[in-house]
Amino acid sequence: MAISISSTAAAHVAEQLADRGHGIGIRVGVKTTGCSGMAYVLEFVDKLEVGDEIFEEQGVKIIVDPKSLVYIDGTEMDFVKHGVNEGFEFKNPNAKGECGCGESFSI
Amino acid sequence: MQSLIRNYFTLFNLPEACELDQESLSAEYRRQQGEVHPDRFANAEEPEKLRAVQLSSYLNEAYETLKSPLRRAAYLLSLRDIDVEQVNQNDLSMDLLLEQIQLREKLDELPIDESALASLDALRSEVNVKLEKQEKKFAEFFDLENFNEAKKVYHELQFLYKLSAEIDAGEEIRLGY
Amino acid sequence: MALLQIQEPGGKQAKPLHRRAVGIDLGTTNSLVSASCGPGVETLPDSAAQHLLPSVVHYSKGKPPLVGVEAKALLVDDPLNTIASVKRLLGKSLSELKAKQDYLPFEFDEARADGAPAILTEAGSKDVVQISADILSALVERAEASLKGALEGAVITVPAYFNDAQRQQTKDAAQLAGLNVLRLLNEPTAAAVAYGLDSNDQGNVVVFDLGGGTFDVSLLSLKNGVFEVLATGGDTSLGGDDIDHAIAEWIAAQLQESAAVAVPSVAKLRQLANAAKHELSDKPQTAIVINQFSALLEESTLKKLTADMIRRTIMSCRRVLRDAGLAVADIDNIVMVGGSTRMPLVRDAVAEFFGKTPLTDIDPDKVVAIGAGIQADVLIGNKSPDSFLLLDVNPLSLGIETMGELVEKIIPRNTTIPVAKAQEFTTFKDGQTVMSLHVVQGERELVSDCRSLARFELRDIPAMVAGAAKIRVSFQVDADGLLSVSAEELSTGKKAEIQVKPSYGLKSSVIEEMLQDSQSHAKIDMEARSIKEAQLEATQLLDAIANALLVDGNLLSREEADSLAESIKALENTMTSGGSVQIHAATEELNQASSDFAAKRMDLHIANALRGESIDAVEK
Repeated sequence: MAISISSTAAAHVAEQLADRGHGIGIRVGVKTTGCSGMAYVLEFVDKLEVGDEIFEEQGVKIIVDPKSLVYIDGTEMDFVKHGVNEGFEFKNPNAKGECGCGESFSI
Repeated sequence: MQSLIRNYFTLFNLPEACELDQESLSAEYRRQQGEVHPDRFANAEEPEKLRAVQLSSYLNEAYETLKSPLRRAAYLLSLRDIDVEQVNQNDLSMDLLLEQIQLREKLDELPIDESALASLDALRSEVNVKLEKQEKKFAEFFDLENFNEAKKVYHELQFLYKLSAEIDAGEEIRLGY
Repeated sequence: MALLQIQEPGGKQAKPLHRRAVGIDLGTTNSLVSASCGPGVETLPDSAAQHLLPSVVHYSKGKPPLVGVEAKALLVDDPLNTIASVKRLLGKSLSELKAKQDYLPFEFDEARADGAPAILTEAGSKDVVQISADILSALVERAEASLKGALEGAVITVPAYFNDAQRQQTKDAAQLAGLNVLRLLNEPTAAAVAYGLDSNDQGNVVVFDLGGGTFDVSLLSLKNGVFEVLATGGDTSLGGDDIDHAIAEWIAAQLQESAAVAVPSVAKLRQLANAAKHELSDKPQTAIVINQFSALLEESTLKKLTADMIRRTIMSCRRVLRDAGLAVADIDNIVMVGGSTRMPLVRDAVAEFFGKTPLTDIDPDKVVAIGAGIQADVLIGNKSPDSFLLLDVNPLSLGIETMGELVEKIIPRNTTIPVAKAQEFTTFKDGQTVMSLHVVQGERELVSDCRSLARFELRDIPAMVAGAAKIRVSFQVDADGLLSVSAEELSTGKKAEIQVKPSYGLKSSVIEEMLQDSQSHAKIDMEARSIKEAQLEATQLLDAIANALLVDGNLLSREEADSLAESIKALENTMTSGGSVQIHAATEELNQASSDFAAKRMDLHIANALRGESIDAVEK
């Protein structure tokens, strides 16, 4: 079981953590919402919850709760630019369909 | 775009009348431009940008129409289904035409150099006094719903504004532009 | 998929990322780039701590172009491959540039199909868009190094008098340099923005921009965080260079009087003059020394030398005030832009005219770039959108060619943009199915004196009698001041549309002179216009009579026909040689002479119609 992160994404995470000034790492997870069922969660982590799994990749701590882990195991996190927009992108081998907006996915 | 075709006065929350509070007009114009101007959509998708250009252009047109007393007068008449483009020769009195000819002769006779600037200023004040008088007269007729007379005064106003523009052009020539 | 940003724990919105946006002042002589650094916007220096980047590009074979100080150093040694002042070439066709008297030391690429000016260099043929893009790239590189990351957007300033072609090419150059152009911003507006936000003023602001070669003046109103450009004006051939020139001439005159030493080269004189001008910014007098010769230039002398130029700048101020319908007393602030406003004489004249001390806190060379940077920060979304809004105007009138080569203005100058206006036109000839539309820009009344922007055709108009078709022509100017035009035949809904791009190879007077031209020619224009109109009226009458003669010529007796032919001949002669009054008179005469004929035709047609034949059928 693992989650991977590209070096660009890792650099951006590190930079934003440094900018923020505090935090252990980032939480990657899923929550139920949206048109096709589930949406990604991406947030800073100040405090660990019971059962959290911690992955250390490229010097960045990625924290995933056990329920989410089932859905996003094997996911690759990248940082990309589309025109004037930039942000994080997930490549999930488990996802079968995405809604138009791309914020939700189904398995 | 259908939703755009609205009364300009309603658009700016103003009473539909000749007298107009320029301050309220300009404040409301600025407020609304603040919402629809393309600069607010510099990062938006193409259709939104296009809509911003359309809305903002419409707002500009409405504002320019109400801001200018002459255009406002024409617009008020058009709201009463009176076509100001249709000029009936009988609408223009002989006195008016003679007065216009005299004023124009005065303008043409001025020397073409800077020495005429003071006379131009005097002529401009003369025209401005007449403009103010006629604008009042227009409002009076319009408020009495005597639109035929109001239309005649409108044509007088047209003459005066045209003359005023010619005085400006005359000043430009003499200022050496 | 949508791109995600890292959120605060519990789904709270994280502080939005600061996005990298810059303001760029792409100048004729120097260019600058600015960005928000901490609390305010500042211009960004290069590694040698220089803020100004000379707008000079040097091309050599197999190497990337050199931009800035290094390129400037090669101007004298390698003039064919070193290009300065490319901004002056924007929007011009090759033929226009060649027609200009100014000597340009380049070899132009004659092989280019589109007639756009391109310069042959060691590194190949470079057009003005490419050269401008190379300057922009140097600024982008500087900004990205300084901001540590790729730029997401830029606001680029252009002179207020820039026409559509010049704006379009500036935008093209930015896109070629990989920039996302958030907005093209008028330079004086940018300057007012730089001051406006710092002092949070309300009221009317005059921006007085006296650069090396041009003078611009704008009047803006600032209220509740909204800037509105009320009017712009200026003089495109007036600047600090003219002041240097006047001083240089004075030095030459002093030298000739003393006859002690030979008059040095023009370049040397200019250099001495420029140095003297700078000296006089701090001191009441300065000595000019050439070998044994020495002359004392006093402020009072300089005042005399520059009196006419300064008077012209003040006249422009007066005119802009009038365009906006304001008086001197209505002006709350005056912003000074451009190196030449450092001259105390200029500052004093401005202060005297407006009765107020002008604002000079921000470096007049940097103020435009700083304003552009502030606007970029707002447009990219770093600042709250309520902070301020800019309402700009179009600097030159836009119109369409009508019959007789006259210009019908659709959007007058100083109209707030974006703006959309439509006007209806009709066909000129019976059965006309194609209408060609010629879009022009400028203040003059005749097409040949305005700038040609584009030509296009509306086809498949249903055949009708002249004047029956209704064609609506719509002009739309967007917030960058760029124009698109569409034409629609109202009964069929047939449409044609064009996005106006620079058009080359069209004969037209040089754009910078156009604004000035329009005023000095107003009088001549009036008569020229009257003649054109009279000629048109005469042509229409002649055509109508010729047609009538073809159909119903047999209605006339020999004497009647001869007398009519005489009047026709008289009008034809007057048309080519006479003034508007004479043409009118001759037209009126022919009208009279043909009235009996017209009456006879009318009688005949009515009689025919009563017999059950349609008039149409008779006409054929």
